Amino acid sequence: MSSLKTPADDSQPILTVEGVTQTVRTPEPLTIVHEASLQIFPGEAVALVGPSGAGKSTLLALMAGLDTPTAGRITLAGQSLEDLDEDGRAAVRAGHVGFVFQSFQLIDGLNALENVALPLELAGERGAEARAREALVEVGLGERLAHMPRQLSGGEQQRVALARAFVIEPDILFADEPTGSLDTATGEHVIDLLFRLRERHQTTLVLVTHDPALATRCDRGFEVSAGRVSDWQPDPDALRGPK
Amino acid sequence: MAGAMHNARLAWQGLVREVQNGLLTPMLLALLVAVSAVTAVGFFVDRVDGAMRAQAAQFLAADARVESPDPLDEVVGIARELELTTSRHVTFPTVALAGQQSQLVGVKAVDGAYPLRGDLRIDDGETVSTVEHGPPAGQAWIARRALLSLDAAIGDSIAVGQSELTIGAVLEREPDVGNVFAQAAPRLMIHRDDLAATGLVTETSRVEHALLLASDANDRDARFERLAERLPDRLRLERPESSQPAFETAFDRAARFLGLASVVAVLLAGAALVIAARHYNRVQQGAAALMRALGASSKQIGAIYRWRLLMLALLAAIPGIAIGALTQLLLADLMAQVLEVDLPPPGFTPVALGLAVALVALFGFALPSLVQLKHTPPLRVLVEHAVAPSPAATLLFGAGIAAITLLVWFQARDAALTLWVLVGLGASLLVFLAVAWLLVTLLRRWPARGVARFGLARMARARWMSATQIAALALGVTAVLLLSVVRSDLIDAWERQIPADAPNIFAINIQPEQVDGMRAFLQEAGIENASFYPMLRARWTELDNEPVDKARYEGRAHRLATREFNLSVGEEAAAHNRVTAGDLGTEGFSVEEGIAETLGWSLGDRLTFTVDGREVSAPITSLREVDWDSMRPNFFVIASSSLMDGVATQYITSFHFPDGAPETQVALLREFPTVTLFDVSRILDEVRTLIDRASQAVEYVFAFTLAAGLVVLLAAFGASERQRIHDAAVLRVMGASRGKVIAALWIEFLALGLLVGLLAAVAAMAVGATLSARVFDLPLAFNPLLLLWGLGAGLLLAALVTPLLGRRMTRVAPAKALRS
Repeated sequence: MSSLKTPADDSQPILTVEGVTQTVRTPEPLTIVHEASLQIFPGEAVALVGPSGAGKSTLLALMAGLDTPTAGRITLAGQSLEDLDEDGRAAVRAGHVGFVFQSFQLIDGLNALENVALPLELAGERGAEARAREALVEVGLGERLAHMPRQLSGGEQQRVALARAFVIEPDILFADEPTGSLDTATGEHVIDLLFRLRERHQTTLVLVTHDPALATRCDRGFEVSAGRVSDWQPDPDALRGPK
Repeated sequence: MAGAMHNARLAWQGLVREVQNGLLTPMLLALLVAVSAVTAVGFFVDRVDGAMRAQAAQFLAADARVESPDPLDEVVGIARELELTTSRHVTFPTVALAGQQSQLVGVKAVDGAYPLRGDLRIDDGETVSTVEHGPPAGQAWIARRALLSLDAAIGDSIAVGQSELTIGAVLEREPDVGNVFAQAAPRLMIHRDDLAATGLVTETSRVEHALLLASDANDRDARFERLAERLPDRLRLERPESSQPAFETAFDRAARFLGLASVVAVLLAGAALVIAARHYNRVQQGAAALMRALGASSKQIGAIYRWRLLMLALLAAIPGIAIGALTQLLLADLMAQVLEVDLPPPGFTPVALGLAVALVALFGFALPSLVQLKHTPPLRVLVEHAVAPSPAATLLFGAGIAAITLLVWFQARDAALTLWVLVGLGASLLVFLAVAWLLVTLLRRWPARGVARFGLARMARARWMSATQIAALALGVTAVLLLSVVRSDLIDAWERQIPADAPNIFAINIQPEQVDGMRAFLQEAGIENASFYPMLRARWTELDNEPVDKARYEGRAHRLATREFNLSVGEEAAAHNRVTAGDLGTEGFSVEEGIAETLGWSLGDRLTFTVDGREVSAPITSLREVDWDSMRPNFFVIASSSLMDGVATQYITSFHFPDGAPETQVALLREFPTVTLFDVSRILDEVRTLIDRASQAVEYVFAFTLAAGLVVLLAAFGASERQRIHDAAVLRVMGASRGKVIAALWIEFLALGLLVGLLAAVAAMAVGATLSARVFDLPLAFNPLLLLWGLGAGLLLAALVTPLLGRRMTRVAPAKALRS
């Protein structure tokens, strides 16, 4: 895929970012995200592209309500995040949001099945283990249910993380450099799985990556550079790769 | 030197930073608890020891004393040569008269120097005061018991022999009173100048002469030694150290026990130090690698961390010693009331001890983990997996075991006891650890869901760490439960064993002709069927027709072999004993089985006693088990009536007067002036108070054990904090509210607390039941309430730590927590 689709005009955005700024004290004030604005619509796959340290992950964390912006407004799944406290934002995440991280972020003390069942159990849903088992079968780990994270390879751990993300049928999935800790072949396998699952579950995807080739698999993209956000168009030379 | 100062400065800078950011908090707290525990006990023991020496001197009324049936003029001469202060007095029994009444009294004629140490308490009718002298010439100070039975008052005349003296005061307390049970007659103290006029003391009189000696010279011990060497063989110099051997031995044991109790706290603090130091080592590897990459030698890094530990030891020791000094005030307050003397100020030994403990604990428990730092490869700045090889297990365990041994030996001061304590402690900790590990494993299989599963999974993930925390805390809670709940259970059970109408008054020195009259008196006072038992003094001289070899016996056996026995006669004296061997009806001696075991006597052995100038020889024909708690007169040896025909005896009886009935006691003494009464209920009260105070003191010390257990928990939490914050962030990313994250923590710590409580309660029940059956000879009983107390303690523990730790885990936004 080399071109990006445009959003459907007739639907309401699932995520709106309006003039969001994030400044931290380190101890001098440092602006990481600068008046970012964007909209993401249901069913879209959107890439956030940019070099390391550009502010992509910070913007993702703000969009998902994992952190609060210094200024600006974010609306996620119809809820204005600035009106909510941490627990309110957690409730929004519990109902609508899934995550996949570069470093997997599994709980060491729980086995694969328990890790996947955890979000369902936290939401008080019934049949958590059965659904978690199905999710793990779906990612090809039906035989590794009782394995602890340390007993799994990096690719397998990321597949458990995918199962955990999709088991709650999220409206929107945030993926932060999901292949960053994996070798190329395993990374491609995981990305194929991610896109297959998102298709199957009709999930909106926000993918943070520094890899332009991976970004082109999304419907459209935004470039983050020095904290500023702009529309992204793929550079054919970059996509061709080094000779 | 400049290099050392440079390293010290670097060490100090790091120390300040790490204390500020909390990295060293667990180590600091562990040291603080260890030093506080040891110094509190050290200060306390130091002061009580000083007070006991002072009190021991009071028991003698002097620094040293010589007693003899003959005048001690020659010893006075030697004492003067050695420039010792002296005081002389004479004691003898006589009958004093006041008006129409008479009373047998023990006269003590003291000179103007008496007492050389300690004081007297007198009541002159208007005030009770403490004085440091005896009565002036012309006056007599008299025990209240004698005053009452003489029906006299202060200011009345009293006839002692041929002289008339004025009763100047009631003598409430005298320092060198000796054994109250041996003092058959109440005291009458007069001045030595009045002695000749009484005409009671002649060359042939049976009196006891005492010479008191004291000195404030620095070399007084040497002077007393020289005096002892020059004493005739028949005389013995008595020093305070040996005046109350039983009391001193008891305190020495108590002091060692307190010291060892404080070592338990130090050992738990040691466990906390090991955990905290290993975590510190992990955190510091990056810094050590960077320093090495920048050119620091491994030697320099080693030196910096050693300096840092030394500074940490000082930083903890100073407030630790201060806390110890404050705590000992509480302990000292408890004991001061029991000892009835002012406690002297503490010395400096405990301060040195506190510093030594901080250093031994830190270098024994923490340094081995930090040895790894100096070997950190500089490559680690690039490759995170590049780490130095872990220190050898022999170094880790060897240093720890050496530190423990040193600490235990320091408190026990005895190789065998040190070994036993180490084995006992090691075994208890191993059992606690094994059971805790098993419980954690079982808990992991609990079919929990959601936050509950998350909470329990954390415990199961670090199973050994969880087991260590549970074992450490359970040990502390067990100690506190044993000393609070079990102690009062045992005392209650012991008191319940004594019936409400158990005798509380003992009457001795009853002459045969007084028995019928006294029985009638008691009947009138509502005491039916009082039993009167013959009692006579006898000295054991032969075993199987061989003279008693006193050198064979030690300790209690030696005392029994050398002193006079109170023998009884006839089967009635054994009526409430259980015969365990032989036949009470056969002519011979019936012996209490405990004393038989102590002195190595068996059924059939032939004993010879000297009684009333006569030798009585017979075999042991029965052994008896005696219930000493029955509060009835009991005898080690009872002779068949036929053996003691014609021997002069006195009688003993015991009975119950509600609340002691002091008026009835006085009436009885008036009618039977030679009889001596002992109100045992007061003695029982004093014993109970002493046990209570001593165990409270131990309880305070065990509070440090509990605190050390909490520090283990804190150290373990500190070591896992980063992981916990990460896991909490993952939960929150998945939509868990703060409440749910804290709920998971509650579940973890509730489970931990309940396991601690359960383990501690079961252990306390088992130890309590064993103590009650084996040591106190009480029926085996389990207190189910202990389970409630234990679980309550566990819940309290959870309630204390969870909110505190929960806040730390959830105060950072999940994004930041995951990034860090």
